[in-house]
Amino acid sequence: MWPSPAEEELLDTISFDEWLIEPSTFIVKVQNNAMQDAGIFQDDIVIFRRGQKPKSGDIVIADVEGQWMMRYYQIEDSRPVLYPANGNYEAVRPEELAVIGVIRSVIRKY
Amino acid sequence: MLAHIDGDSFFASIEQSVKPHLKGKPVVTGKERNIVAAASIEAKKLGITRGVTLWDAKKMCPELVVLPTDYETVSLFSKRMYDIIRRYTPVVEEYSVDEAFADLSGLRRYHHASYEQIAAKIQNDIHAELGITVTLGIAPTKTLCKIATDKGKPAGLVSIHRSRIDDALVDVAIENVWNIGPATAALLRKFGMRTALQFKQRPEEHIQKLLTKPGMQTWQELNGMQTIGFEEEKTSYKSIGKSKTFTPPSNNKEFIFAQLMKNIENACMKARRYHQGAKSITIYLRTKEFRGHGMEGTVERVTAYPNELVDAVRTMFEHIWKPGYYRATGVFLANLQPLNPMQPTLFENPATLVKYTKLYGAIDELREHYGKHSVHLAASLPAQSFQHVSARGDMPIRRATTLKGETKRKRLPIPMLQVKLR
Repeated sequence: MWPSPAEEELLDTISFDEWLIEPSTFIVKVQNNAMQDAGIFQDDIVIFRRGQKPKSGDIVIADVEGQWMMRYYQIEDSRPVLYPANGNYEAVRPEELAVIGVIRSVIRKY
Repeated sequence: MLAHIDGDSFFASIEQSVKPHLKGKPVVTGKERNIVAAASIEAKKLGITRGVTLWDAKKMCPELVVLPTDYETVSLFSKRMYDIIRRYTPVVEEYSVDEAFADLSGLRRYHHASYEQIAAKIQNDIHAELGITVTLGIAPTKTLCKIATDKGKPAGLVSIHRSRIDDALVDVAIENVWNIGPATAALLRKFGMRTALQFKQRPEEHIQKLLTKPGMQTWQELNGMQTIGFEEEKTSYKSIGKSKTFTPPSNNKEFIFAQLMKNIENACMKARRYHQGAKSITIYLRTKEFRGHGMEGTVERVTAYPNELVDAVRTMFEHIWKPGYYRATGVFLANLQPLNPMQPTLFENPATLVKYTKLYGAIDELREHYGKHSVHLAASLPAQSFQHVSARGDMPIRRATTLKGETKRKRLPIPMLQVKLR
C-alpha cells in the first residue's frame, strides 16, 4: 500500500465545530431586523464570544439599562455609541453600557 | 499546591447567566420536583436553602423566580468550567458537576505567576466567559482545599499555606471536615476533639486506635501530607445504579415494572459503554410514602444484556410487589466484571451469547444515531411513552426551544442566551 498523498493534507483540517464554537461562545436567536444591512435577519442564530472586549466596529450584544440589543459598537469622543444597520432604528448613546459579548458568526439554516 | 474550584449556587447562577435579566434577583431551580434544588446568592440571603419546599420558599419571598432544572445547559457549563481549568494545568479531577480539583504544583514558573495568581486567573476566566462565579481554595492537600473553599464562599479565593494550617483549622468544627461523617464526628467529639485543629494535633497513634484508614487519611491530609490522590477519568465502575422518580405516583403494576426495566436498560447501557457486565443485581421500589422494598439476586454469568435479566427481574419484582402507589423504581448492577471475553455457562448454547453480543452491538449503534432508547424491550414500553404530568412551564426554556435541525433528543452543544433583543 502506498501512502495517499492526500493524507498529510487532511491533517490540516478543522471541523465545523472547531471553526464555529470557540471557547466561551454562546448562541442567541435574533428577534428583529435592526442589523439587516449587516446581513443579520430575524430568526438567524448568532454566535458571540462572551467576555470579549469590543473594538470599534464590532457587532456586540449589549445591555443598555436593562434593554438588550445587538448593534455596531463605535467609540466616538471616547464614548460608546450603538449603531443599528437599519434606517428604521436609531443610534443609542447610552449613559451606562455593559457589553456581554462580541458577534463571531451568523448562521441561517434554510 | 492543589486547588479546589467550586461553582457558587451553580444551577441558579447558570440560569442568571443565560437569562441576564434575572441577575440580582432571588432565583431557585427545582420546579419539577417541588423543592429547592439550588438557590441563587440573593435567595440564600433570604434564608432559602436547598431542600426547602417551593411552597415555603414562596412564602419567604413572594417574588421568588422558580425555574425547572436545565440539566442540558448545566452540563455544558460544567464541561466548559473544566476546560478553562485545563488551560492552566493538565491534572484536573472532575469531582462533581460543579466542583473540580486541580494540581498546580510546579506550574509557577510556566505561568510566571504565584499559585494565588494562577487561581485568580482561573477565577477571572470562568467569570468572564461563563458569567458565573466560583470559589477557589488553595492548599497542600485536598482536605485543606475544601476547608479553604468553605471559608471563601461565595466568590472568594482563600489560600492555606503550609505554615499557617493551624490558624485555618482553629474555627472549623470537626463535622465540617471533608469525609468526616456524623458518626465519626460524634466519636471524635466524645474524645474531646470539637475542632479540626484539635483533631489535627492529636498524636498519630491515638488517631490510629480510634479510626480506620479513611479517617487516618483525613488526619494526614490536615497535617499537610497529601494522601488522597487524583482520580483519573473513570474507565470502570464497581457498581452502577439507575433510578427514576415518576409524577404522579402510580399503582399500575405493568407501568411500574416497565419503569424498572427502563432503569435496567439504562444501567446495562452504561455498563456496556465501559465493557463491563454484572454478576449481581438489586431492584427496589419506593412507595408514595417513601418506604422502600428491595431485593438482590445473582445471575449465572456476567451480563449487560437486559434480555437476559428480564426473567430474573420479573421473579424478584413479583416477590416484592404489594399493591399500592409507588413513586420511584431503581436498580443496582453490582459485582461488575469485564464483559469480554465472555464465557458461556456449561449448559448454555454459546450461539445465544454470540447473538446477544451482536444484537446489543447493533442496538448501541442505533442509539448513537437515533438517541437513547430508540430500540428497547417490549417490557419497558409503558415507561417509554410516559410523560411526567407537569404544570405549564416545567420544561427548561432551552429544552422547549428546538432550533432548525435540532430534535428533542439531539441538540447543539452550546449554551443559548435567553434575552429579548430590542
